[in-house]
Amino acid sequence: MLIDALSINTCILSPEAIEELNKIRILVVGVGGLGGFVAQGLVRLGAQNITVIDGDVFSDTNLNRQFFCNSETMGRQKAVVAVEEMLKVYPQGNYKAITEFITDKNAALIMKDYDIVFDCGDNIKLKLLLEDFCIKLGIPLIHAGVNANYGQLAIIENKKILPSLYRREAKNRNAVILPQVTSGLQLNLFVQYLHKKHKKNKLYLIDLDAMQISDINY
Amino acid sequence: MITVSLYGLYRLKATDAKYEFEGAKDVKHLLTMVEQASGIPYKELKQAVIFVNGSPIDQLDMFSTKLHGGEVISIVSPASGG
Repeated sequence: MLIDALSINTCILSPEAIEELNKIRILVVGVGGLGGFVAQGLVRLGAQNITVIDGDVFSDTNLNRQFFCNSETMGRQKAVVAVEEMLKVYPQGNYKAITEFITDKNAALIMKDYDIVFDCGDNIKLKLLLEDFCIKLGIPLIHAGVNANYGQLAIIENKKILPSLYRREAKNRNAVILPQVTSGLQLNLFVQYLHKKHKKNKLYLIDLDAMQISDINY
Repeated sequence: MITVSLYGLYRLKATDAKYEFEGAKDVKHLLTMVEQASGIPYKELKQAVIFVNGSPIDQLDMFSTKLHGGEVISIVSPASGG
């Protein structure tokens, strides 16, 4: 049972962090390349309260990289499939699916019920909207963006960075490796956040081609 | 000395990931030096997200941002996929 296996996580989680994992309300926005890995990773870390939101359905172009996409889930709502699979790992989990896209009309109403948000979205408009509402509502945002062999991530708390990053159209075409690496780093930032060890205003830049993670203090 | 680091697409396109320059008076001037050293056209470099000591240039004076020596410049290609 997962509840027994979770004791192994004490190799990276303090008792206080585990207690926080039982309470913290997490919203994962987008259950595609990043979000699929993030959602299943959160379950295996022991997070009890997770909502995934995505208005999209799985299609054949998702097969190369999206964790919950396979021949049986094709055409189904991504958020619903994600929660079904998460509950297979931990049936007692409080996991919910929202089959809508976040817009400026519903963002405040949806996001106000969460303590932390994962930005796993795949478009600039959504990413800017999440940063905007998270800062307004005082909710930390674990941002990430990926393209081919490079990407970036950061915990955004009260200082905006995304309007500077996305002044122009940014590239977005992905295989499986970078989303998997980046979502792992998003989860690592989350674990650092639980231990209050995360670095503020730091942008991490991933370069798989060079096997490097660099950072900029912004 | 001004240190310039290239990330993402720009690192892939350049001959090196890091350069050092002397005498650039502003970001525009620096980009012409980066063009010569890296082989990346100036027009393309202008599309990048550029940080001067951690501040994005759109929060400074864009390409007219003055440089005095000692700055750390990061030239970044952000990604938007999820």
